[in-house]
Amino acid sequence: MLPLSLGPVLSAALSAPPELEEAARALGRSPVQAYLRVTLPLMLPGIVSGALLVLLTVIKELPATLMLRPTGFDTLATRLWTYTGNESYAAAAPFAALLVLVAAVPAWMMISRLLKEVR
Amino acid sequence: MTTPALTTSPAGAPIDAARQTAVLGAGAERPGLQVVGASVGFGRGTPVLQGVDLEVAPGSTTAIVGPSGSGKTSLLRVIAGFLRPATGTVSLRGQEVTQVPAHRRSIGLVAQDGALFPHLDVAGNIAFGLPKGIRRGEARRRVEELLDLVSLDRSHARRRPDQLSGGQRQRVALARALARRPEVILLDEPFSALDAGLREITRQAVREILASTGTTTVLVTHDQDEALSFADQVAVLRDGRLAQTGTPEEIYRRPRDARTARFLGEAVLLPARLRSPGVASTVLGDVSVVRSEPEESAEDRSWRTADASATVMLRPEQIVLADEGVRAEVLTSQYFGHDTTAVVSVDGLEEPIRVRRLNADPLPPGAVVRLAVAGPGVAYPESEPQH
Repeated sequence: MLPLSLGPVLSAALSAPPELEEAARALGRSPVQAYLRVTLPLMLPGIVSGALLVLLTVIKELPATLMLRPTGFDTLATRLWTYTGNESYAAAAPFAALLVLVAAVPAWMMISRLLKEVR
Repeated sequence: MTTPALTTSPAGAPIDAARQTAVLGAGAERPGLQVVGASVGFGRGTPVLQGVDLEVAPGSTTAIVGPSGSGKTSLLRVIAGFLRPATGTVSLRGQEVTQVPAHRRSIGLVAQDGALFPHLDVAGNIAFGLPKGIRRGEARRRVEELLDLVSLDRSHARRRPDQLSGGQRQRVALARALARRPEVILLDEPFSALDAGLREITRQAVREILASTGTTTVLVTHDQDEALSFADQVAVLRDGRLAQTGTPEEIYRRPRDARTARFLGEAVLLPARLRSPGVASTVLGDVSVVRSEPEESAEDRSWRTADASATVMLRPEQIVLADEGVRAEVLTSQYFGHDTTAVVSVDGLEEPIRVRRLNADPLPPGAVVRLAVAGPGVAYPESEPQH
């Protein structure tokens, strides 16, 4: 999951160069205030992007979930896997649909952000 | 008056004080900015700054000029408080601030690219510099005032930094830095990212704005023309040391050594023998010469009379065409529009010399001209290191 979030967070860090934090400090803000008011707001979109990417992967993740989940703990992906394993596709369908819907939310958020940046 | 108190002091007070001292004469007053014996070293090897002493009169402008790697940005960072010197002190208006963190010093910083906050609009950027806890209406009024001060239309207030031109960005950066009425404004190569025409206009505008607010200013630049035209005082920094500090005229007319002379503009260096007091004989004839320091002590004066070898420094515009004079042959001419520089070879000189003429047509190569010298040159007795 880490490599996935690294890209967006790294590019976020690059969009908040130290010169801007210094500019804020020259304007009378303490290092903490400069970070909170300049560096963090500039990095936030990247951090959110990274988190959304990871969220998406976690929702659909199967092998790791199967290995690590506590007994009696189901995710959409494990249910889907159980039902399709029994060839009961009708029973699996709602979970598959829900999975698509849930995944669509962060995907849509990222795409809309991308479109906004392009414009 | 403590420094933190100044940052939140009400409108006007520090500026009026600065203006007053500028009128009364700087000598008697505490300097607006004083750096004493500042040294900075990064690990081993040559220190970045070595014992730099700098004094800036309140309300005046000083340019720190030097080639890249001379340590001028480090000096600026020491003044700003981003870099703590290994030795030495920094004082603002007589108050030592060496140990005071950057955000508690009353300084304003304008960076090369403006360093505007991209997530805030113009008004947001400028308001960022206003004292905390200011009322919203008051803040808006101050932002409009500052936009007027830097001659930006108020309609620009809602624009984002990436919608501004380079010159506009620097104006916003200046307005933002002036918002909290700092004791000292630091300009870090603020015009170098602008193209030639815009640079000149912006430079002039910034100079006028700073003069009108009476702000003590330190400009860091590698551009000697900018330093000479912008500042009341020029400090030449070389290899971490101040090579010379003085008025632009002093620095240009009487550079302390040949290397400084070359850095500040084109220099013609002639081997010479010192004859009678203040006269040196060169291949261009007898030239009246001065010492690089304006004041001379009695023993210092003795060198003039000695029959010693020396190097005489002249500026290319001091060498003029005359009806009678030393014969020279034109090798090449460069036409710059406002002036023409001819490279000529003179009998008895190994290296060709440069002659600059204003408002003149270029001389054709091969032409024979007669040269004379206008105004005094600077003599460097041979014992001084020459580069």
